Amino acid sequence: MENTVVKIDNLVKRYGELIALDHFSLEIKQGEVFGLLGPNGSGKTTTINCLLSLLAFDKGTIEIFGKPMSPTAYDIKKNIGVIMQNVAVFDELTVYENIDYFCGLYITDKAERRKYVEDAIKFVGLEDFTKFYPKKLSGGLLRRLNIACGIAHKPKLIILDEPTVAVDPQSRNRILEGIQELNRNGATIIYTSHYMEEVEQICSRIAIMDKGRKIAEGTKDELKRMIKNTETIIIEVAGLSDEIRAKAAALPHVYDTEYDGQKLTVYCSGGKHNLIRVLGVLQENDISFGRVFSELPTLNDVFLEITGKALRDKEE
Amino acid sequence: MQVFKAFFKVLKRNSFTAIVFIGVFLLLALMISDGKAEVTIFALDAKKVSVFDEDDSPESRKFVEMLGEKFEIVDIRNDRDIITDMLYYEQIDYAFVINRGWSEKLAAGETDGLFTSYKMHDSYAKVIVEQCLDDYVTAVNVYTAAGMSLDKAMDCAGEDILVETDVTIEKFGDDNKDFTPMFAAYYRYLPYIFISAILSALCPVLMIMNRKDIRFRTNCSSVDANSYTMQIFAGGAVFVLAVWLIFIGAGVYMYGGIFRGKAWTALLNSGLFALITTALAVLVASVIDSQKILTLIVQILGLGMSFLCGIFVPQSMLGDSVNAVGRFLPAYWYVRLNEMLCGDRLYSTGKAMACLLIEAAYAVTLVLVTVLIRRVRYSGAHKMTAAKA
Repeated sequence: MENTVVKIDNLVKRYGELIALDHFSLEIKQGEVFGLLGPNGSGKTTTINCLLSLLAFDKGTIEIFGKPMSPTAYDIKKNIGVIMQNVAVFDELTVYENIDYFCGLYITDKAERRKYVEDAIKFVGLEDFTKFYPKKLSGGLLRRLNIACGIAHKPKLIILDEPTVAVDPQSRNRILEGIQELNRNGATIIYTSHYMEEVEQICSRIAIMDKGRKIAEGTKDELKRMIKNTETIIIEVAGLSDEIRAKAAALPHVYDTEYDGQKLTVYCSGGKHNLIRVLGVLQENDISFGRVFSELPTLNDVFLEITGKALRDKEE
Repeated sequence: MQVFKAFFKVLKRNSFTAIVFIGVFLLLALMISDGKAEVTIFALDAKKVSVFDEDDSPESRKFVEMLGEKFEIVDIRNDRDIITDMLYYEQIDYAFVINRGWSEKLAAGETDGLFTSYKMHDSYAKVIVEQCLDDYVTAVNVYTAAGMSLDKAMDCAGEDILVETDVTIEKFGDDNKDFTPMFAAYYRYLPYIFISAILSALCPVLMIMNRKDIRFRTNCSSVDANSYTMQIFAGGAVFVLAVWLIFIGAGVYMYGGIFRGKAWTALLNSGLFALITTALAVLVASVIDSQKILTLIVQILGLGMSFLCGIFVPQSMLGDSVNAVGRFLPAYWYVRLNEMLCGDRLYSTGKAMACLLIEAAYAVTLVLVTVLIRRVRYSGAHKMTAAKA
């Protein structure tokens, strides 16, 4: 218990008939970058809101830093930083004033706060924009300001709820690097996203959510080992007969194949040298082929296999 | 005091409209008062009269000369079209012809057929000039009947007509010299300016501080929810107090005097209305979140109360139905008390207290409604049910 930062036990949250969180439990250790992964509407934000006591829940318990969380648990809140998807800053205050204001909600000592604010500005690289009003900042700079407002008071637990939505790739990389740096500096991170690549990149442990339930939890390797698929081979090949496809399907460790007239997809479960064996079948039958790809499973594959649907909608 | 300080920084960026309202109002008030406390309430106004002397006798010329001291004689051609045009465009107020044989008829004590007049029907000028002519003829007849010569009688009648009367305007219960009608008029407009200035500055700030994402971040922080509310309340109170003091100070500067007697009640009345406006601002900011709608609401509330409650037009000149509607609005009771204090309405302590109590009731009601609405709208963030394990 001593290094458990967050403990959620059997949490239930209902919106009328809809069950947003269904007996959800979670334990996050100190120093972890914990990813909450799930499609839109899976209950990630509801979990965060309950965790922060911004939302009443119907059943369960939440402990942070070993103490029960409540709306008036200000000693706990003092050590939490929150960065939400929406940029929550005052348009009427400058960059410096905004960071100073939000930092001031935690740190009352003026001299100490000034140092914290300057550190935060340096951390997000807004040194040249301290006197700018938010409306004059680009989208990427605004995101950085949003992050600075959330972490200026140097919290021990930082919660980031989809902070990279609608962010350009350059800013996104900078944000992700920043999160890793915060973690290296000692903060425990809870990171929610429906971008599996981000979660894979930065999270040491991941919980996958769907329909308010935790459907899997572990490191990314542990999660990938949970599923049958270990390798997907894609070969560009034209005019493939059913007979040859059947030969490929009959190879050891191959559990499924697909062919759309242009591309042969072979799904393998375990084993080694699967690609060589599949290519061998094609060569033996004098079939010429184009480009060849071999892909290891992603978290999307994990989600797909567990739930039967993709993690992200196609348009996303 | 982080929230308190931020409140004023946000207010600073949203105060332009309020500054314009306050500046324009004070400028107008200053121009009207001319920076002096003395106000001329009654002034004689010489009517413009054209006289056509067809009698052309020494007596008629003497009469015209006497009229010149009473009225402003305007020389125009004796042409019906010109006279009617001049009357229509109010370049003259009255015109009349001294008929041929006027002096003989006057000497004989006749009263008919002396004058032929041109006038605007139902005008005050017609009443004033005809009253003067009638009084003159009657006086001459009285003096000649008493044995005076026509010449002497005309002199005496002229003296009578030219006597000026000192006029003082008496007010009901007017024992308060410190609250002049001009000062009262200044106070009468305060509700409009309070609503316009306070709402247009305070509401946007409250709306920003209540913005969902800002509240979210604040609720996540370690600042006590009650402390946060109190700091915003303190910010609003300081702003409203400052606005109120500006107007009270400007009133003292323009109309002079240290508040005494009933003027203190006027001060209390305005303070109470400033409180109502504050409660109204918090209520409005709790139910709307659009700047465009806010502008509309400020106009509706400001102008609506002004027209319905007697701010722009005295209540005595409003119809019964308008006054009946106005009774449901707080500004009506403010204006009613203000009218009592300046003597436009009969003053009684009981009625004055009733007005103040009704205004206080409005303030309390607005606060309660606001608390209720805010509890419904924002309670989600703080109302956490006890978790049932």
